[in-house]
Amino acid sequence: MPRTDALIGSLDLLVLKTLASRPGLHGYALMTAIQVASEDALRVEEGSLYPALRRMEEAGWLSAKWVQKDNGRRARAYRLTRAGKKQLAAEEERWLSLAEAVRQVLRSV
Amino acid sequence: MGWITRLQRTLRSRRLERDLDEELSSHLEEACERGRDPEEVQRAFGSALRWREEGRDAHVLVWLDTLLLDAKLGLRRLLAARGVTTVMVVSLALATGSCLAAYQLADALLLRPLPVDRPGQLRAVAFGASLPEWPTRWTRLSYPGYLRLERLDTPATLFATTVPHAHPWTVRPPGTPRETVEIQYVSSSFFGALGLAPSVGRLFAEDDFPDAPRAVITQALWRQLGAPQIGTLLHAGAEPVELVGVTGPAFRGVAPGDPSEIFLPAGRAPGVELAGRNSFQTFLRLDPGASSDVLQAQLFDTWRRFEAERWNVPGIAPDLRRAYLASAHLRLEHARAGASAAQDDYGRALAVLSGLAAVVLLIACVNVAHLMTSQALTRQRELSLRAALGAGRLRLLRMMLLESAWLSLAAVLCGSLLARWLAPALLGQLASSGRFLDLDLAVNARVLLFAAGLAIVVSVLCALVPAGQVRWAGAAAGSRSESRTLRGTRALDGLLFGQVFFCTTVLFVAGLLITSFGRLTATETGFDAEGVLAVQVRAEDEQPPALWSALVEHTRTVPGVERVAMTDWPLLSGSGTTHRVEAGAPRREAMVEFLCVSSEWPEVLGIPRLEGSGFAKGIAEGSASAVLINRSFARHFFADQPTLGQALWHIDLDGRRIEYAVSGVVGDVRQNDLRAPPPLAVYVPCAGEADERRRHAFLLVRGSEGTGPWLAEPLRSAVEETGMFRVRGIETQKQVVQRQTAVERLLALLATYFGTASLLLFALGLYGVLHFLFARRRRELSLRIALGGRGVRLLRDVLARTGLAATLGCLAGTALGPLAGRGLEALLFDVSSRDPASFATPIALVALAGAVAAGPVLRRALSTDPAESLRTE
Repeated sequence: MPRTDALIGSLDLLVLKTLASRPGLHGYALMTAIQVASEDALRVEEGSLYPALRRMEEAGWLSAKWVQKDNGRRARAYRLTRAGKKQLAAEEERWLSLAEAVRQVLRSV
Repeated sequence: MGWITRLQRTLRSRRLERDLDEELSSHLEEACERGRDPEEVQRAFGSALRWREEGRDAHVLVWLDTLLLDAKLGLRRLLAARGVTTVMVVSLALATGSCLAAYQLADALLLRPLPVDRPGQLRAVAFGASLPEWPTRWTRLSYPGYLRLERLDTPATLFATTVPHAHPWTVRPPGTPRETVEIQYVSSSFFGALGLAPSVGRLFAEDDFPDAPRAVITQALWRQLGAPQIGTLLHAGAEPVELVGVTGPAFRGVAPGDPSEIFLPAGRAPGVELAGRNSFQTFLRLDPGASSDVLQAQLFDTWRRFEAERWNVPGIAPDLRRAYLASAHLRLEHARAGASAAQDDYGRALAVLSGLAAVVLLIACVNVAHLMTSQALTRQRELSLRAALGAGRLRLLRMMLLESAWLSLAAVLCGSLLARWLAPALLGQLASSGRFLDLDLAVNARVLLFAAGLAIVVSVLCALVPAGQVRWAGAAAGSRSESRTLRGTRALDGLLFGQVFFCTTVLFVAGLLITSFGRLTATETGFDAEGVLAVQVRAEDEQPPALWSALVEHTRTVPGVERVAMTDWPLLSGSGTTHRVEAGAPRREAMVEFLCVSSEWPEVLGIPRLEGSGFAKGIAEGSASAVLINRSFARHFFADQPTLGQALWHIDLDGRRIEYAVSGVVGDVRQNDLRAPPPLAVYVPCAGEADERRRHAFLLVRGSEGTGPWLAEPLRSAVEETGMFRVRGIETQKQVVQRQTAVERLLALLATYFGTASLLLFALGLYGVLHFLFARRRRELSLRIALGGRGVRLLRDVLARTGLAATLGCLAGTALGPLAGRGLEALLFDVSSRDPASFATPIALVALAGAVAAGPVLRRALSTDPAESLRTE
């Protein structure tokens, strides 16, 4: 069962990282990509994903443009901006140091 | 996301909403295709409304978005109440249109900087003296006087020009529509001091002075003439002049309202060498850092010495000379916008126009505030609900401001259309009074800025009081306290006070101006101007009296002509000559008006002959020593003594005594100024030693069957067929007299317009407030009527405070009126702001307009059927 609460504090990182490796994904594809990459361990809810996308677009980390999907419908495809790439690096560093700190606590206790 | 993208999305909000909806549905569709339950996906998304709102907020400039939404809401509200909105827009448009027209005229005449280099550095030299019956301020100086000032070593560059004057083309250039051209004589430093550059050819150089036959013309005239080559001869003025250059496109001289077309060297001006001919206006450009006060003292000293020499002649009484020199003064006035007689004549009238327009604008704003406050009070529930739903105080205030901004925008747009018609119409009105002002009324950046400023001021003024109601509604959200109604209606009473106050003030001032005009036009002139034509005749060369006499005889033969007289100028044309005269026993002295007239002059103008028979034998054989005097002269010098045959002496400037004998006495006439009492006057014959050869004269023609415009052409033909004389202009003596009242006529017209507008606005406002008051208390009144209450008492209860507010406003207005009137005294004739009638008329008019406005509302209130009313409630 994919977990949605496991994403707390890491949604921005996941979105940025996914878009860094696969630019031009639209909302649904992004959601699926995270789920697949985590081997179903993580699932992003629509109610969290879209506000996060808007927030990051507002902050200038993402840019979006309308693209035509295979079924003929239009969808908004997102990609990282230069600021987004910098933010991804910062988020990755923050996450890794956090994970390292948690691991140290687990080892020492 | 950049702010430009956000701005674009804010302005294209519908498209943004469509995009957001499309993204949502695209996602839902794809999720369902992949086998997810539609309801579960919908739940995951949350509320569609929240989705749209959050999406919108992320993509737009939120403050601008809400502003636009409020603006749309305000517009919808105004359109929903179309009747009231129309009344508000029309009220404001009337007032803003008047303000814009006043500003456009003031801009063109008084405010627009001259199109020259650094116009702020320019000053005009004005002179003054405090002598009885002497102008307190004048601006012209003789050319020798100017040269005396110019030669001084001062920290300024002086230059001088004559007033532009219409001269006939001696040979009219082919294709030129006009018979005359405006010529101005300028000093050598004129173009240099103004920092002007030519657009074609060159401007004047030192070797063009004093009087080389060369001309510089304006670009407008150059175009009208078909862009003639440099070196072309122009036949304007006494002799042909060679075109040497063309000024820049915008330059039309330095006299707003009186533009020039041809500039000639000062030395060519007629009478330029005469120290007594004050025809040059002196300007100067201050050097950077120079002190205006020091320069003024320096110029005054030199000018006073010049005047002392000029007045040191036997023809001027020593006492008069001493008084003149003691009171003479010189002042440097700012001339950023140039200086002209039109500015002097109409500056004050324009100030009155602007003042009246501003007060009427205030009345209109109060009116609109009134209606908006009434609306705000009826919207209490809606506003309280909005406040309860979280709309802040500022948001509610902003909504009110936006509504008034829509109103003021519509009003300024409609007002601009009104001003486009009104400003030229006012100029046209002046032209019909014989005073043509040539002003460029094109809309420029300053006028647009003024209109924008006006829109903002109107928005704020209109929203001020209603916004107070909103603020307070927000604070008392949800409450239903009685004090709320009380406070709201108090605001309405305050507004009514303001409206009555302003309206009474406008009516007071308007009454003074209209009465002044009425009294001025009703002034007994002492002659009959009806049916008399004044024909201005100019001879190619100076002609002897016999030829002029022959011309008079010749024009008398024109069919339809009954009588013809000749004179220097028509009565009340503003021209005059004063000489020092001695007469009577014991011998007394006075300054007396002299006018050359022919023998039939009194009959043509219907001036009664009181004694004697005039020059007796007509102008050709007239005696130089025989003169007519007027009644005032006879009374002043001869009192009860017999008048005929009495001697009088004219003492000329060189001290020579020229003797005349009185051969007749005629009635008093207003001679130069309609406002001044008839002067002491001597009428000398247009023949003999007193008047030898002359070049100009006026023929006064009385037609046998009522002279009309039809007589003008036969007269022109008769004069010009002689081959020696040309007609420079024909107008009726009545037009000449009317020109004396041009300013008063204009002011009376404006006063009528603004007085009517303010009364109308007051009546509308009062109707609105009473309607609101009765509508609010309808239930209570119905109940009281049903319980046997008497109508009059109920009305008294409702109207007590409103009536008090109106009465206080009326009293305050009449108290302010005399203060406003005091500022107008220079424009008033024979009217006092302390006259009881000046107070009674505005009060009566306000009371009448109040009764007319209140009547229908009160009648409806009294005739209300209580049962019907309560059932409706």
